[in-house]
Amino acid sequence: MTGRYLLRRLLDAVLTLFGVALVIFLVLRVIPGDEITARFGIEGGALTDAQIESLRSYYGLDQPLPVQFFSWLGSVLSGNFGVSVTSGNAVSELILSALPVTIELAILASIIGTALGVVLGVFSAARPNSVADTAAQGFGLLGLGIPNFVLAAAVVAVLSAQFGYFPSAAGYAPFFEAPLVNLQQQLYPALVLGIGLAAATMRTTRSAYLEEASRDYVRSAKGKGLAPRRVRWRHIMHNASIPIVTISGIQFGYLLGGTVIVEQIFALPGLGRLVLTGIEQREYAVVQSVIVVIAAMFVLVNLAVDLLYARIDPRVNLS
Amino acid sequence: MSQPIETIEGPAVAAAPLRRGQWLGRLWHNRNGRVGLLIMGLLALLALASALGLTPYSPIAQHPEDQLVGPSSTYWLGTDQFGRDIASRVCAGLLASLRVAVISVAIATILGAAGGIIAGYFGGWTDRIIGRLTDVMFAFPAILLALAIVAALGRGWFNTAIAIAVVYLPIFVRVARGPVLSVRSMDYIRAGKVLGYSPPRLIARHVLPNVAAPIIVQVALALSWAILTESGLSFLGLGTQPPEPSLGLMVSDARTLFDRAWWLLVFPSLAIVLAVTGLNLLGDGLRDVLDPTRSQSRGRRRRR
Repeated sequence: MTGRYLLRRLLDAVLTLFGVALVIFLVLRVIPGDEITARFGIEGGALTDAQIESLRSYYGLDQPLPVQFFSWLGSVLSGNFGVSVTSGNAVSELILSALPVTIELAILASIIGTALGVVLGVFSAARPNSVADTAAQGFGLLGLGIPNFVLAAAVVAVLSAQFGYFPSAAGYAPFFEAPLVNLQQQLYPALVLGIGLAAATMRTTRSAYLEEASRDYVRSAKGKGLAPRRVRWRHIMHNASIPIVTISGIQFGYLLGGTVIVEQIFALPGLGRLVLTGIEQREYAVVQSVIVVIAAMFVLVNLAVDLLYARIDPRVNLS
Repeated sequence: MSQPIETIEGPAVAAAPLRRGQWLGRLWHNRNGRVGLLIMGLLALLALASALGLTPYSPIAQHPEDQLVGPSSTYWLGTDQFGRDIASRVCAGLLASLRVAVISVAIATILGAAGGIIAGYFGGWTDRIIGRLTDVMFAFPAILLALAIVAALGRGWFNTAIAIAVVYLPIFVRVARGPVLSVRSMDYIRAGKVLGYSPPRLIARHVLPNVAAPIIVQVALALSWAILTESGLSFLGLGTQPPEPSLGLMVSDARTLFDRAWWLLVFPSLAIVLAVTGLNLLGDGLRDVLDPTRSQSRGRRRRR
């Protein structure tokens, strides 16, 4: 892994993120209404022209768009994401408190999805066309076909009807304060997300395994009398792991955005809920900052996955 | 809805050009393809019935005397809290979902494939600019981009369709670009250039047939993702607006009534799952038929 390659990829990532910030900035400027209408609502109609003018200059809305963009970008780079008008909190504080919730959810879901998906995939590919294989493939198909909001809605409906459990954002317990309560609150949303991931991972694992299993080195390994388990995990899976790492990396990135709906349903105070409330309350500062933060993590995860290739597969030449 | 978008990279080597009709027959002989075709045929018929007004009741007609009635011979799938017939509403919801899916994927396919073909065919700066733009689009988690666009354009089914189209556009660019690169340097294209054929003619007559296969596979997967996203956005209240029936909205409304009326949650959910699974199966079948190098059932054939 050469430093030059790393530098080029980082530069690429920075360029991409600049584009992301620009796109989000422009998209949100199309929204009718601005911070002033969001702040004052209908009462905004009672403001005099002079009051509107001074408010516009207070929020910087009278500046040309490029100036608004670069001043926003500059403050973001120095860690100042602005202030949420409705709650009065700094956006950076809102993000910092929501970020751990989403990252924890994404990590838990990834662990569940990858573990379940790889085991099921190997299990089914090692016995092609058996009953077990058909069942595992059926799981894969259904897991991809059930939207996570349907699964989440069903889980919450059953939990509240049978056990009187109603998720609430107010009662959220951070991991380091009450780890057990926290895990209990994160378990169901993580399972819901994990099952969808497991389905995709299972399908990838199965086809990668079958591809490797037909190669000559596998026949040799079997021929020299290695235990099937050893052939399966040490030989086949070692070589089949590249597409699996790829899909796990891609999925982790999607999880960062895809938690939106599940966080909403399970009332977890994460980034997803932050974005949704931001959209409802027309809070530019919140929405654009959160989306840029998520996109930044997405780009970094993808970079990390690319670099991981080289560790797994020495044939990959990074320069 | 956070399900990762399944994509295929455009193959480095172009598949054999498609002949009309031939692949539909082969699709029918593929197990996945046939089940997918059957499911989607059935759902399309139900949606058509709703479009033609052939459902037993109007999807928005309220029957105050029959609130929250379970499935029965009068109301096959029961009624909701306003006494509206769930069977009719599910059919209408399917129509709404399919409408958004077809419109959005049509836009994404036409614009995306055009972009990909132009990038691959002309190369150079055109390719680099289009490539950079798609990179930026790929940096957004798909659902977040869709959310931001719907927030910008406003709620409603048509804006949802546009949002889905924008999210899927770069994927079609990538799928189309790959095979064009390999076709571009073929002798017959060079010969066409020497003969003075215009780029539009060369692209339409000689390039397009070579990139059709991966695009068709991607269309099936895109439709499935579009239905997931449409119902998800409607679930959040951003997509199809009430009183127009929408599967996502029905699932959302059913949550609080689940202990008294399970059918409100089960049947719309089932319709979504069937539609998504049917399209996924169709996509798998098309991939088996059109792109033998990436077949899912490859292991079966190679087994010794």
